[in-house]
Amino acid sequence: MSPRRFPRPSKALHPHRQQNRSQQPANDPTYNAPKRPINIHKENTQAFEEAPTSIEVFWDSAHAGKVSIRDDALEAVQFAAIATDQDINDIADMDAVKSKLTALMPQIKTYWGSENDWNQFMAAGDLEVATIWSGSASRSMSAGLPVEFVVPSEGAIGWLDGLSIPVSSTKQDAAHAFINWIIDPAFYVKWAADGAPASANAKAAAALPDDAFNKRILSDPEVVARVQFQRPVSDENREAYLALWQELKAAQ
Amino acid sequence: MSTTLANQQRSKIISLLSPAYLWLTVAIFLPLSAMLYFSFLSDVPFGQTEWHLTTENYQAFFQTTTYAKLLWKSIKLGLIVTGFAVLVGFPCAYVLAKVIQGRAREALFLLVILPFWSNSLVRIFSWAIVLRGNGVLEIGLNAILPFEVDVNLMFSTPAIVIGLVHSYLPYVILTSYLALQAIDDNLIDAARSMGAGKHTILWRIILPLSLPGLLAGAVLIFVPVVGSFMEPRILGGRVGTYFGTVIEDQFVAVFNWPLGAALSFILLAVVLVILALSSPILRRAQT
Amino acid sequence: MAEVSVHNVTKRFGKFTALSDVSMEFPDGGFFALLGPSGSCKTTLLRTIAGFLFTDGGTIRIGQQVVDDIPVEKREIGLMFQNYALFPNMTVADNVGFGLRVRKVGASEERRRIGEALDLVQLGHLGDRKPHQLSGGQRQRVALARAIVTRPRVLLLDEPLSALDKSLRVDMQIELKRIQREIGITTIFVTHDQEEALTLSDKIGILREGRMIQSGPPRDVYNNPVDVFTAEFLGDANIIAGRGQGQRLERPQAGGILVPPGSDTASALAVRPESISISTFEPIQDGISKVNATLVQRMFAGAMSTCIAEGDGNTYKVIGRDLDIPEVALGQKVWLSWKAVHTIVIPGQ
Repeated sequence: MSPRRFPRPSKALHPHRQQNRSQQPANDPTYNAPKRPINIHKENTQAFEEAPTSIEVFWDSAHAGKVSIRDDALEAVQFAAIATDQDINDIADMDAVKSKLTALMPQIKTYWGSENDWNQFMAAGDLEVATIWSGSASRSMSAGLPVEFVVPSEGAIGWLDGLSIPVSSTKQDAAHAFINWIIDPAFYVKWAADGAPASANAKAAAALPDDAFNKRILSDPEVVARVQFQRPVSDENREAYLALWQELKAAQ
Repeated sequence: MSTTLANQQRSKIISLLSPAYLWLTVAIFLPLSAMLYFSFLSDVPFGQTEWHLTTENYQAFFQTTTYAKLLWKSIKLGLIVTGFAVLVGFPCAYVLAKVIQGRAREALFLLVILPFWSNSLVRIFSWAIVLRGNGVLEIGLNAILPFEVDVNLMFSTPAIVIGLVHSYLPYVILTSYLALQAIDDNLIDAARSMGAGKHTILWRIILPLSLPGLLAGAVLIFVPVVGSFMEPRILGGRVGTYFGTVIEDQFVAVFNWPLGAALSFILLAVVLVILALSSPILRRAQT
Repeated sequence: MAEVSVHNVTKRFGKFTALSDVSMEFPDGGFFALLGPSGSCKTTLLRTIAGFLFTDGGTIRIGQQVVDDIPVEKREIGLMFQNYALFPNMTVADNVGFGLRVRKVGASEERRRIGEALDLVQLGHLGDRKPHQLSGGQRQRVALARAIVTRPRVLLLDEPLSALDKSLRVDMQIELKRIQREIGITTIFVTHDQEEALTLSDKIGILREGRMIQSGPPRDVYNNPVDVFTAEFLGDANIIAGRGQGQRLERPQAGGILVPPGSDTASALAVRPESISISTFEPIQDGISKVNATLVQRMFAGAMSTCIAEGDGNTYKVIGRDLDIPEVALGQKVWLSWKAVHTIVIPGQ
């Protein structure tokens, strides 16, 4: 494993984020491939007459004990930042975030850690409303789970998967071919049928059939405009978020 | 002559002991030493990371109340689980050792040991299936009972206790069984001949004589339960945050091995202190 | 103190009948032995008297009380085990005081009676020791003190001396008898050691395969065994083959093997080794049995010697004072003789 390919993860760095923070050499061709909004919540359609539109549904006492978010400090804090109408990359009022999360905790049944957890809890009826990645959501729905994916009016967290080729690679052509293949409209249409993240390739996105998940929900420019994309987080903030999240969890 | 015999004896002892101690050195002492070393580092020494020796990780424990609170929560969990395991396991061991004879005993013993033969994760997920709302337990009870019951124990402290008691019950049964079986039946007969009832025999003879085994089982349960993370995480949901889950997070979620290692050694130290404080009681119980 | 009566007691374990129709009287204050080989269920009888087991038929009385439905805890008996069964977690004094504590006699009374009981067994100074700090003989005494401290109606002993070595055993036999006489308690003990049974008891019950074969004072049982088994089990006996079975018995003056007057029929004849004299000449007195035999072995054992001689189709074992046995080379003819009254007539069944 080349250290350049996977730069040292700093403290409290979630493996998912490693790609985001890749320090790619300037001369390296970079493809910012599938765009992936997350933390847009998704709810169990059997528990709702009509799909909610506001993130406030997480704090609705009607769903007390049937709520879940991912067990992740950064995501929890940014989720509360959206609910308190703040910029997720520049949170000014941490006290508001803290009190918003404190109010959220009693609503929560359990945290989820993996897509598999999430699917189980939803299928068992343990949860009615929970955060989820759009890619996971589309997979769950295509697997037949009766859930709906909603981007709340207050906004959602988005982040980008980057596909990078290290300078030292001896198989650059093959790498290019792979990246071109994975963002190719023809492949993407097939992939999306089983549940894929939203694509940053406009041609690929356009090639989806009209009823495809990623087209139906994420092609609306208004929806995309509501998504706040994660930028690198400083170590200090990361530690502060982790301390807050641990404190809240420990108080349960 | 006698020196050669002594030498032979010594080489025999060494050859018999060395595989075990070599194994312990490789499998326990070295990794544990590495972890101890990690716990004094400022950062994980991978790749080109800059790091230095520090006690910050140990200081971190005292900088917030979070860790102390969770440690106390874990110790309470350990006491509760140990208590239930003893309450359930000791009578079971008594019946196996003193009441049942022959093949029935073997069969029942097998049932006791069975949890040991299954993967612990499988056990915990099985409990999740049983305990959750609309789960096996609720469906089963509603099929039998004339009224509807709502049994949703999943994601609660009772769920954690149930899962942990089940996982560790065999320890207390096995150790108590061995202690109870060593009690001469004549002692019980002698006490009966002197007019002692069941309670007197239990409190004055059976319990004192089987206490070493019972306590050994309790210690075997208490120590791992205080550090447990899998059962609380899977069965506890929102209330499943314990000292063990925080340590696990440091290793698998936030990649802070030094802090995780430091917290582990604090846990080890606290457990050792607890055992040291209770050792006079243990020793008195054994004489 | 009380007499014990076992009347037609039967005890079954599933299909196996351990005791069948066992009866024996144990008068107040006596010392009784239940003797039998292993498998004779003598311990089962003791445990039935103690109340660990309930009878399937018959009646057990202690004093005037029928105890068939009373469990061991309420029977007020004292019990002593082969391995003493002292509580290893308690001191000697606590062991002895266990039964008193159960009866809630009060602390001062408890102390007084523990002291008394320990003094009786001469261990008054060892009250603070733990059982594992005692010798075998001392443990034995503690167990005895513990069994009698509650003043039970009956003292039951299960092979109490068999774990001790020979010399200690003889000392303890004397000690046991002394203490038993001192407190006058009805005592029943189980043993497989016939010598011990003969030495200690006022009355012996001989059990075989769950049946009471014979009971009575040691001398009666020894001299008048009811069958070949008892004759051979209690002491040594030379069973004389080819005589007695179903035949009319020979009269004393007829020579050969004579039987005591009044004996009409027998299933077998026997003679104890110590009843037989050896001589080189044919004895000429009247009223003795005599057999011409060949000396095949002579074993010197200090005061007594044992000889083996073959004659008349039988092998005879003879035990006598060494100085009473003539110097005869092996293989020589000798005369064996005994008084007619010493011929044991085992009655027909």
